[in-house]
Amino acid sequence: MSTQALIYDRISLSDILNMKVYDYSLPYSAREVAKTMPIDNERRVLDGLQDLDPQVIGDIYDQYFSEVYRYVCYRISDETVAEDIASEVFVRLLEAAQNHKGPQSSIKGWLIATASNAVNDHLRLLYRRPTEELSDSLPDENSSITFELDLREQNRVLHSAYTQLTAEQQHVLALRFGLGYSLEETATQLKKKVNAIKALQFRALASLQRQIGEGNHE
Amino acid sequence: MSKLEQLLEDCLESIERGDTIEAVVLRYPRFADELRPLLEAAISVKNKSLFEVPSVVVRRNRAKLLQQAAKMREGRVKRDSWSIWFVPLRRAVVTLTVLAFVFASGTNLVRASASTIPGDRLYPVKRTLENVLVFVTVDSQKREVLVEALGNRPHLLEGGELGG
Repeated sequence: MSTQALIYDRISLSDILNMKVYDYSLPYSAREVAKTMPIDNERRVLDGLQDLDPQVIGDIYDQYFSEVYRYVCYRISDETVAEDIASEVFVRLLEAAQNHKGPQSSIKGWLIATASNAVNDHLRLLYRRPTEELSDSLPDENSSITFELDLREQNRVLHSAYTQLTAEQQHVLALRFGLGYSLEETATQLKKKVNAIKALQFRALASLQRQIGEGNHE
Repeated sequence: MSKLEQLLEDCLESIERGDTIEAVVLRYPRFADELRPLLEAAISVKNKSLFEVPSVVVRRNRAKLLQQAAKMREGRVKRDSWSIWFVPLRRAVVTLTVLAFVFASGTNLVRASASTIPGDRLYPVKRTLENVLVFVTVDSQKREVLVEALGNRPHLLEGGELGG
């Protein structure tokens, strides 16, 4: 199966196991082949998950943990909490496999969807129990510290604006800009058409830009 | 899908390829004022993303996951050994309960049909039981005695069911 076909076709488990693993640290258009997994492992992976085979579990973790963690970090921006959530996603994979409710086609799709649900649950709880922010100490006049504080303030405004978006808008931006998914991959993940993703992306960015503007005026 | 949504996507692809925001919006002067802030927002959220996952995080959580899997395997072995005797026992109890219920129902039915006469609803039950009794009686002498006993009932003589 050609790389181009892999990118634009609906991603299935056999596709994942047969496709080349990309280096997600690079922009999407510049991703390069890192390694391949043979297709005859597909049955082995599903059986291995149910049997709690440590080799299979380790392989799945190695392939997908970074992406899940990056997704969660993008949505939450608290790395400690993000690590807990990302870890929990993989435990849920094991539990679901035991109960025959695990992924039937795409492990990656299942993991990202579960991560999205876990993040949404966390954010719902968080907004019900708001916590007081610790006050920053007074800055001195050192220009590098001032620059860093400005940068932190910008990030704070950006993250605050991002959290004002709907869960679906946050999810689309996280997939498109956090993980570098193409429109087609994002559409597959959200089970929507490509045009719907373009519209969602547009509304998300428009809303984000509005929120950033309001945040800067405060 | 509106034209602006498609233009936004085209501009994002150009920026991904290395173009600046200004170079891109210059291609669409009519929409520049609308596109520029959206593209700036897109760049901001793109820069929010983490590119490198710390290796210590990867290692720590891998060990944790494999440990969790080992615990689940252990728990499953304990459940499997317990179910070796529990499941058959449960099946035996259910089967015996059903049989006891059927037996009790049947016994009550037979008892209720014992005093019935032709025309009663349970009379066929009584007749069937009598026929079964005759059938299972192997000894020919005993069978003759039984048939005679069953035949010596006034209501049967009327119907001529067992009469000679």
